[in-house]
Amino acid sequence: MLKSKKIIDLNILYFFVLLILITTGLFPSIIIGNPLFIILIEIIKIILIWTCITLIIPFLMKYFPNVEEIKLREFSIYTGFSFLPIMISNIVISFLNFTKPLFPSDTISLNQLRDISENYYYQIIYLILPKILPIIAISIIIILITSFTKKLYGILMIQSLYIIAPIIILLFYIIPILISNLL
Amino acid sequence: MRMRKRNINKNKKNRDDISAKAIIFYLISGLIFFPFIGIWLYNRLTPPTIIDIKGDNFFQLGQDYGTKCKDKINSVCSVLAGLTYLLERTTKKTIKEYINYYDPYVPGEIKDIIKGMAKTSGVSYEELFILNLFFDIYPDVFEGLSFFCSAFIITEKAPNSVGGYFGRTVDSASIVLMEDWQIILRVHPPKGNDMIIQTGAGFVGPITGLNSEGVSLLVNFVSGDVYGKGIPMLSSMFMTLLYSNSTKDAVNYLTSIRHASSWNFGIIDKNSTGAIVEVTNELNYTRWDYLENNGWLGATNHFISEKMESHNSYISESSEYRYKSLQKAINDENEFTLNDAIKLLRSSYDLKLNATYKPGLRSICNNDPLWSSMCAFIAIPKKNYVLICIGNPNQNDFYLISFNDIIGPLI
Repeated sequence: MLKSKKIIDLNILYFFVLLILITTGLFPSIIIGNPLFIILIEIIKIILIWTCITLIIPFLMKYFPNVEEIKLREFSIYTGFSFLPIMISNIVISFLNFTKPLFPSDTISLNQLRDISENYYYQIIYLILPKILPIIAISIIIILITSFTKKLYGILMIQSLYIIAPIIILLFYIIPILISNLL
Repeated sequence: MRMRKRNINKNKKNRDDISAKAIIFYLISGLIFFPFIGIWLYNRLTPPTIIDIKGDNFFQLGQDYGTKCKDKINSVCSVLAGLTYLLERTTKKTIKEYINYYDPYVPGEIKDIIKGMAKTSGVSYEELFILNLFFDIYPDVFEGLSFFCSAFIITEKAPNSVGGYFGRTVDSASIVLMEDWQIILRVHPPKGNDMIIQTGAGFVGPITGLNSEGVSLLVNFVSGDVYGKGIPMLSSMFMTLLYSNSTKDAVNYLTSIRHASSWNFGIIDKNSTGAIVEVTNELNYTRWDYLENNGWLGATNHFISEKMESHNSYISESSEYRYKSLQKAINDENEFTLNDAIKLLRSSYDLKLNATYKPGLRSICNNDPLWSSMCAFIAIPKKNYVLICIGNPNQNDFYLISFNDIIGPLI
């Protein structure tokens, strides 16, 4: 009874992880109005990144002396939930791009253009935020995965960071390039 | 009870240790990450550097250029030294032979500017001369040095308040070299027209520019089949902007000279007269907007006209698809506003996939990490200003640059 409850709980957690991953991949493409196959490719990209993180890091942990179990299930669920910052970042950026004000009317003067460009709210919300959010999201992912890797496997924080940070950065850049080149 | 208290104290100590370590970790991460973010943001938010150069004669103009861009010119030429070595090994011709070959075709004004630059930048005249032949000789030798620029000239379809204008992306496959070389110059020559030009450090001549008489000019590389003795591209661009007061003047000049290699020159003036001049070393043809009668003209990296299309040595899939993307975006519009132009210059729409996706070279704005768009330029002759985006247009902002001002970031 307890074992079946545990399996059900795990399945529910995996369901939420999948939901987060699908939403992360869905938003940027769906706002633009891309066809279905491109939306699917974006989703597959995110799932592939998650899979790679889930496979590479636990198997690297095997080589640490005090690590006995790989704990793949727990790690994969934690990693899935860490994608929340990227999901939120993608939703916010898609929304901002959709609502971004267009170039001011062709008839206004240079002085009026200058006033518009010096509007701090416009600069912060529409020019700075879309650029800074992805960086903050990736930084949070690195911090989150580092923290629970340290907790899960009992290794030092700094050891965890040295392994995870480069892998995450590489995966978030390499896999998209590989998929793009296939097309 | 005592054991329990000891355990609680031990747990509290562990938690304190962990909190202390976490704080130290986050502080260190912040110290590592945020300066990079800060520098990156600073580069994105501070306006592009505009360099004003002037002189009582062309030699002094060159001296001013060499002084103000000394570091960048030296950095460009240090990279060029390696390429020059490869050039000599590949073609078996010395640099001196190249200089002698093209020297008769380079106008005196250009040579004086280069002499002035050599005096103040610390780079020799020969190196700077070869630098100014870069686009004519290197693509023929090095296969990777291709260009993927897209341009559109809007004439009848432009709103009346704006007048005719053009938009273009500047792309290069050698992105690791080109993007850092970019500069924006405001040139105040001793005679002729003032100019706002987007170019590379050390180049005497623009890739894109606007002059004070309202003539704006762009150039796209073409894989043409005829190369030879003639005026280098950068020199012809400079001379066109220097002395032309209308599209007709520009066309007359570009069709009267012999060009070193193959190009598409795009021109529009403040009267909204647009033209694209397709040239090889031996031939040329002018596509006038009033003859094509579409309200716009487009150019990528191959010849379109019937007379010149047989002189394409190679038409890349990228060039074809980008041209078709321009047609798809502009043909059906009755009016093509500046907003439409900015959206098009930022478009990652891939016609082959029929989707907005960020692959490589089939979209107007290329996002491939090694071959991406490094600049977008919109010239508005009637208003006497330009909109420039330095860097990939998808990731950077447009600034408005006039002969006296810089405003932005705007969009």
